[in-house]
Amino acid sequence: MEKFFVFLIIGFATSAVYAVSATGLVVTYLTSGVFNFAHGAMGMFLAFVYWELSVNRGWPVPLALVVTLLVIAPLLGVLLDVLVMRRLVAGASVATKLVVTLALLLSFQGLALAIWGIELRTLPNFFGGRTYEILGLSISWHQTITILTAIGVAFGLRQLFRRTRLGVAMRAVVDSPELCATKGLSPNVVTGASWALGAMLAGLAAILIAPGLNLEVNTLSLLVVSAYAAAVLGRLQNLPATFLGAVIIGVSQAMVVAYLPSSNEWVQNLRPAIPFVLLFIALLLRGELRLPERARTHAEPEPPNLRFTIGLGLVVIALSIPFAQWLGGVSKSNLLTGSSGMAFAAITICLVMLTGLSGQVSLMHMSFAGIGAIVLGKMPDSVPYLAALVIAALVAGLVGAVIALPAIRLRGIYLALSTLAFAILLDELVFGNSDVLGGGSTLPVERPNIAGLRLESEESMFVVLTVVVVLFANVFLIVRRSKFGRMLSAMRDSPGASQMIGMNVTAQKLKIFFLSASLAGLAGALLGGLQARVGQLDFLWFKSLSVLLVATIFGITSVSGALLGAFFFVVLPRILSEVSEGGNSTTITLAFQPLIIGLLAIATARRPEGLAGRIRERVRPLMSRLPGLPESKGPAEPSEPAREMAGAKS
Amino acid sequence: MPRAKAQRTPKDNGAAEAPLLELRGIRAAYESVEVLHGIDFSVEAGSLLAILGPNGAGKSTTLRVIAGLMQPKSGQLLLDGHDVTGASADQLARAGICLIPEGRGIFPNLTVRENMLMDAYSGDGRSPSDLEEAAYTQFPRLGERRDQVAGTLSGGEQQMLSLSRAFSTDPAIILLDELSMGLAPVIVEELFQVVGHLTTTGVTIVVVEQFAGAVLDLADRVASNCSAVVMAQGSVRLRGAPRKIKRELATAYLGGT
Repeated sequence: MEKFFVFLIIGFATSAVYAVSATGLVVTYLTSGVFNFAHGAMGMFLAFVYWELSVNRGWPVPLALVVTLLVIAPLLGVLLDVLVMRRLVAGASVATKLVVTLALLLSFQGLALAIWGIELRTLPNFFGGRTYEILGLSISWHQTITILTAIGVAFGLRQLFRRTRLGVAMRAVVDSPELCATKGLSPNVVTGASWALGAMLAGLAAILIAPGLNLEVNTLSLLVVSAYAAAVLGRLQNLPATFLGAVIIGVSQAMVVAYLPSSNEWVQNLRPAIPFVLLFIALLLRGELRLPERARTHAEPEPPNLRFTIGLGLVVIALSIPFAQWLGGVSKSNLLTGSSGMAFAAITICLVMLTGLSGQVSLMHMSFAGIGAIVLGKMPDSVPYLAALVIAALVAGLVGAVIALPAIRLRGIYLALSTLAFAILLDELVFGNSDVLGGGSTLPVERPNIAGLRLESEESMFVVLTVVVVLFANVFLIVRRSKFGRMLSAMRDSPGASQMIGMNVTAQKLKIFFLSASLAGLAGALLGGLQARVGQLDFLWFKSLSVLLVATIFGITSVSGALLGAFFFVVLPRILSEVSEGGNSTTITLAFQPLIIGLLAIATARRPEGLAGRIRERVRPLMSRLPGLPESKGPAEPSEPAREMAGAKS
Repeated sequence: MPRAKAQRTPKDNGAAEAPLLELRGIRAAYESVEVLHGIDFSVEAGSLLAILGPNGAGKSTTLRVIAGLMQPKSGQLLLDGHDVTGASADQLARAGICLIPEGRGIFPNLTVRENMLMDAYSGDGRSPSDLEEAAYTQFPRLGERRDQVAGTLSGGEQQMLSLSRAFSTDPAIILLDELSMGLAPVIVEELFQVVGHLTTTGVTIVVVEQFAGAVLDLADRVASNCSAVVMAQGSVRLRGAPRKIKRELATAYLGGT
């Protein structure tokens, strides 16, 4: 029984942290309409600032706390609002908002690594970890402070929202920012205040929990997942329910840790994944969609006709053979970079199919790739390569469909959250599991060997991957030109209207999820072969995130965007290590890669057609002189009926 | 930006005095589609202007431009002789422009009292309790419902709450956008009486209505100093005294002139 109470108190202390973090998340979400995936990373960054002041510079604890939470945190929040969020909110689609906060997450991680490096640090407990005893239970002062802080935050927020003019104004902005403006209050003032408040709460939560963990970039950024779960239980709008959700999540997490058997490796691996399981359960219980989602459609370039793209593909494949030989002649590592660029391009095209075409954001595409690689690696030698490849793709597709099935009624942020939960779950449960990896920390994956034709040299891998990219690109274009593709675009722009005209939205979503995941699995199997061995590091959740972000930078709607994005993704680390030669190159690569990708994604997120779209706008008029290409269509001029509709609005 | 004066003292009211509100060649567009093609009109202090016109004429857009919710592509907006083109909605609200928007201009999740707390931002320094008192004097029914969540009020009561700001914050100009929309005729009648009462306080009013008859009758009734413009397809087609407009209305609506 004592064990129960000990863990109950631990659970309450964790709940308190989750509650503080989750309310910050909900406050910013409600007032600005942006669900901040970077909330945890923001807290992480502030915890590092606090460490810098209190430990590294030896400031007294109260002073360091005041400066971090009451000066730096609000400044950071307001800065984010002014520089990033405010430019977004008007008419931004849910996917755009998602991408921007994900990019912020990556940027904060990169920034923290760039400033503080990768070494592990610890943050001391308040009162040096001293404890006191009540009823035979020893309780630390740190736990007591944590719980009291959460209660104080709850009470303070209640007073703020009920009693003060600014608090009432924050609630008013939720109802109608425009009406606020006509009443003489700039909505910018209110959202700025709420971002400041959000940052303070994020920082407070991180500082409270950091002493129990290492002060480390990833752990602290992901800690917020439990806060997400609490926020989802509160339906992202109800603060008391969010508090209750935090208690449920914190206590059940502590109980699972206390009473789950610790002998089995699967169970061991499950432990860190508990928050993600709880998040997924929370999503299924409470994730119904009541959010107004403004669809903002984007102009898609008309795809060239099939004969042209297949012809172009054949030319590319033919050229890839001498190109691979030339590249291999220059240096092996260049060839390898080229090949992995092709592999990532194939995976990115799958993402374009899902996110660009059907508007569903997946944060787990590298996980699908990983499943493909693992299945291929585990396949007995007696199975012919091609059959094994198809099985790998099918397994990845089935996993995709199984995950999509419950998540399919979720849209926007909820779907993204559940795919994130799964990506992290698979990181722990499958890709880091030595049972799955055959006892070691990596699993060997074979290269193509089709009916006696051994395609195992580096050069032939490049050609094989080029063939796959050409194939995927044509599959994507065929889908886009087909009735299925039109249904997907319709669904992306308005799911409600699509249902109204008799479309089975669920079936379409499942189909495209299956197709995209299985192709990603196939590409992943080949990527595994290219690398010869795969392990946990190859498919980490933030790789999925990076792939999504580079795809957005270069254009999430087109094949050219996917290609450019993938090559940027593989070339960037090489450039960084060249630049930083002699210095601490691992740290620089680790820090600056996410930072650069994150900042670029923030800068370009507002245009879904991305950099590739801008290049296309310039190139198309020149290309249209060539025979066989469709006429260039500039930025769509509104048609006559559209004008009338717009006029009718006044 | 100085707050425009609600009423002028007789001394101010010289012939050379600039109009309280003036639009000069206002053009406005939703993205690339221009919906206002150069609107010119002015409103004298203490007068009532009715903007009439069929659906899609640009009436509400004109009000949105005046209230600062939409920035014009070109042209000038003058308030009390000052050029306020490009000012934001909240600045204009504090300068004395009071828009009662179409639909329901309330915060549905806030209580009646909290809604009025929001009015204090444009209340020229009046305390929230003064604002409440002024509103309850005009609409006693709101006083009975002060702690009720505004979204649960009846349509008429919601419109009263929206309108209460016109009484409590002492604005210079009140912009009324489709006051009658979605309400029962008997309530519309009641609200028009309230507006009639407003005109006697000497405040300047701009009314937008689709139902031209009702508003012209109102203008006629309070007739001390009123005019009307008829808009169609983003331009002013007709302007003059309500009586004259009433005669020519049929032509205007059927696309003549």
